[in-house]
Amino acid sequence: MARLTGTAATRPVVIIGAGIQGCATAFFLSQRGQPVIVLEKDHVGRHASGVNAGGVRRLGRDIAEIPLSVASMDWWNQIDQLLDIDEGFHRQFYVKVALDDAGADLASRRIQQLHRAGFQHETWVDRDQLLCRIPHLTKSVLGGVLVEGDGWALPWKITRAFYDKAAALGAEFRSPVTVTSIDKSGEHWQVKTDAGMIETDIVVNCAGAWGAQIAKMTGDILPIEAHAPMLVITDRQPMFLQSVVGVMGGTLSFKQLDNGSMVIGGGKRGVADAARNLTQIIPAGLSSFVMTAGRVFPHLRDVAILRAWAGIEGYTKDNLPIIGNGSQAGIIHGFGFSAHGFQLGPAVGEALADLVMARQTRVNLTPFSPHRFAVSPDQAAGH
Amino acid sequence: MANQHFQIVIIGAGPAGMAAALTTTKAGLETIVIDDQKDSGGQVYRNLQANQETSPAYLGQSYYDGAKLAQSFADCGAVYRPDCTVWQITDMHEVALVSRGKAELITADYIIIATGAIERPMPVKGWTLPGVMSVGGAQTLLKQAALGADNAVFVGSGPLLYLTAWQYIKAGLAVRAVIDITSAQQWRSAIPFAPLALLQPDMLAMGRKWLGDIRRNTEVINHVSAVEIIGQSQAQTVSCTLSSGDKIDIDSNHIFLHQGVVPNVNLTMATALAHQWDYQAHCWRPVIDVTGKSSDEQIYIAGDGGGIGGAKAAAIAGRLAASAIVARCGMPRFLAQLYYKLRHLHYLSIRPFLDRLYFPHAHFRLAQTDETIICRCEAVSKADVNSALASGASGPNQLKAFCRAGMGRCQGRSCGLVVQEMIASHTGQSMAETGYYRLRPPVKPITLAELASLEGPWPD
Amino acid sequence: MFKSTMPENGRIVHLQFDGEAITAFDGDNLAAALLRAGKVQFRTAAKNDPRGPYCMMGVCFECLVEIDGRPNQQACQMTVHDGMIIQRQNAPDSAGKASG
Repeated sequence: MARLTGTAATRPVVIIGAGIQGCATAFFLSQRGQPVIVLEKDHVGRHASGVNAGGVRRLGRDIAEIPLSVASMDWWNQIDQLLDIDEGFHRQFYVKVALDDAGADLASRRIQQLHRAGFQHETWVDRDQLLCRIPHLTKSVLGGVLVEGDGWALPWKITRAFYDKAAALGAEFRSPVTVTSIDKSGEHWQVKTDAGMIETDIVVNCAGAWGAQIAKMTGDILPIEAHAPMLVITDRQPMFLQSVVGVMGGTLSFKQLDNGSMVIGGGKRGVADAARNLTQIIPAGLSSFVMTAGRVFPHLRDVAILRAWAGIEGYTKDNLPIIGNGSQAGIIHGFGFSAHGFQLGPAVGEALADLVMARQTRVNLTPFSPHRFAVSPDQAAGH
Repeated sequence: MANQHFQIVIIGAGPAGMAAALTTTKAGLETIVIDDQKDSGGQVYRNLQANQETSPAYLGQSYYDGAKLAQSFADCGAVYRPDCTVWQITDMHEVALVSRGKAELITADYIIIATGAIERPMPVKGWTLPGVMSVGGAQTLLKQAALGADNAVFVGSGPLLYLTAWQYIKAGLAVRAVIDITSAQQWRSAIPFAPLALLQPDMLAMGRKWLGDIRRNTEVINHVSAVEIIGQSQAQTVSCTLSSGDKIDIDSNHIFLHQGVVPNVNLTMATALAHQWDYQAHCWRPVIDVTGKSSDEQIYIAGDGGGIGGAKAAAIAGRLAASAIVARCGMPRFLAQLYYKLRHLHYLSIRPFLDRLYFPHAHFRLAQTDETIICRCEAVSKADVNSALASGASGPNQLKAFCRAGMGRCQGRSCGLVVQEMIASHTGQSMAETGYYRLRPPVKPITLAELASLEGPWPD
Repeated sequence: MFKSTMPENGRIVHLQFDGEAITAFDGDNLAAALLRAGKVQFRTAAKNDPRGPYCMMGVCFECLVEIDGRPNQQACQMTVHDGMIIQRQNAPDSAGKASG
């Protein structure tokens, strides 16, 4: 059984994908002295990890994800020291506002649900308190669900910082390198690529929207769909927002960067073509989420959008990521983050590193088990 | 709101767009022409109809040659939408535009993109100072507003520079100097192609006339290897270094720069059409077949936007693309197409000569001092870009993330080619391998309210 | 200074530029009108760089001014109207730092 047991193995672990999950895993393993080779088909942070909305939040998580998110926040709160960077994490607060009774209702039920499960981090703030903290909010807001200490980061900067630090600690990155097959060879794995073959004991699949393809090479059928949520970035504005704002019952998010630009995202999906690394912006969808943005911050009407984009992301059927050992020894999966993996990155990297070294993970990963998608060979033929 | 549909959507009302509309309307195809300026004519025939009333002679005959086309276009029956900005073309062939604060989607059977050319950036120290403009900008002021500056200095090379300086002289303006950066080596590489250029003796004669009048009316400085513009709140002095090492300083508040024009590829690239690096013209151009059909079966590209050829070539290209479409709509145009193809080749025969003669010099394709601004929008200097390259940025898109070059409003129009050149020079890759910024819609900025207007009015 | 190369005529309109009264002709291009009035600097960009119109065709985004309260208007794409109030556009372009 190919497993590392607490000490460094001589053969480098192969990590597929240099998004935040792959880079964070490479970082933690390198810190522990374990050689790694990261194979990236494009370049570091090319896809979802480099171009997402940058939200760093515990707010609004599926209950099953909260422990992982909370564990990750510990890392975010020391990210500068961890990665030798400045101003990595803009620690503010995050609020999902209720624009109508349905939203307020949802908020109330959500908070009750969390409290029952033992989580206190989300609290209700009423209209007056909210308008005091975010004066430019629409006056028709009813209140919101708020988490202090959530915030945002620049996704490309953080992903790149994990990469830089991992590389400085000895991780080897190879790009552009595309994995073509992963074959068992006795006790080991042969990872074949368009730039040669690598023998290893352990493969960590952090291939994002391409994670299912990689999983299939190892004999695991783990279905994900590739989608492309759209975002926009605006012209610089005078600073007016010192928090991240979302909408109760939706996936819209607003943040204002240090230079005054607004990043507005999460509303609607564009078209994703994962095979060709292409995404398409859909004008009607873009228009729709921008309209919702106007309901939250009507004063932004004349602000210009400089760019719209959509990153290719992998979504699972239940919107929970796949984190855990594959069906065969030496295969570990960490993908399918369904557009909310950025904040989880540090804790996921740590957890994947723990799995590689057969250590107990800090957080229970059962809800993310790859085996929840177990299919029979007949069903598998359809994929 | 139901989307409008047209058989033919033409984007751009310059010579290519106008000529294309003549052909499609004549064939009875429902045609709409969308343009972002308030009047037709594009850049080359800017303000032509208004100028015909006053007819300033200094604009030259080739300008007024466009009058017939402009008049025919006005009469042809195409729906003409000026003052509209196209911000996206979707893969379903919907054209998204903004007009007077409101967004619209227009669907098309065929789209002809005729968005023309822009100036090649010419990054010299001080080029962002007020008072420094592109030669095209100076010429537009002359055409549009009958405005010119006394004591201006023209710096660079290429037909547009000589034409504009000539127009200035004919308008009675005192041109202070023409600083010509064309090198002897460029002449040598172009001469073998002069015979082809002789197929258009009128063009060559025009060029000789411009150069002759310029030499007689102003100081011409040749063999310049470096240029710097000095000033505090505006341009005060242009300082040029000769290949001999000598320096000449000329005081002027109005410096006009030019080193050629390149296809404006922002819309075509954001539409994910295939592009190739054109080694002869040293620029990007969409991949098109001889009729202008792009990598998308329903989208054609006509005029300078498909490859620099000038106004006459653009008009023929418009005719050619339109005829190809008309043929596909069941009305074959074999003879017309053959005629247009031959005329197009004829007008392009001078390009090998001109492209070599005015090939952008390495001294001016790249900035020469560390403080020179490369990305104007974000004020990113040459030193900043080099720093990003040293940190490991290996391509234009990575570089964007490192130092913000290309992330401003102009979407790389002013910096893209220079950044690409710097990366290629640093990595040793070819210009083609280096690639370009990944361009996305909106190709021009659009406000939140304008975008939302596809759905409805902005919330109060 | 930019000056007219043809005889000037047309209805005079009155504009304000940064509080200063200037005149133009009805139908004038705004950037041209400002240049004729001797104004070459329209704004400051990031890092307090003075900027003015460059391309006159709407692709360089240098000629940005605030018109009647609306910011980020390209002067070279605008036509004057009587009573137009134009402000040089400085903040927040020259405030804040580069991100990333």
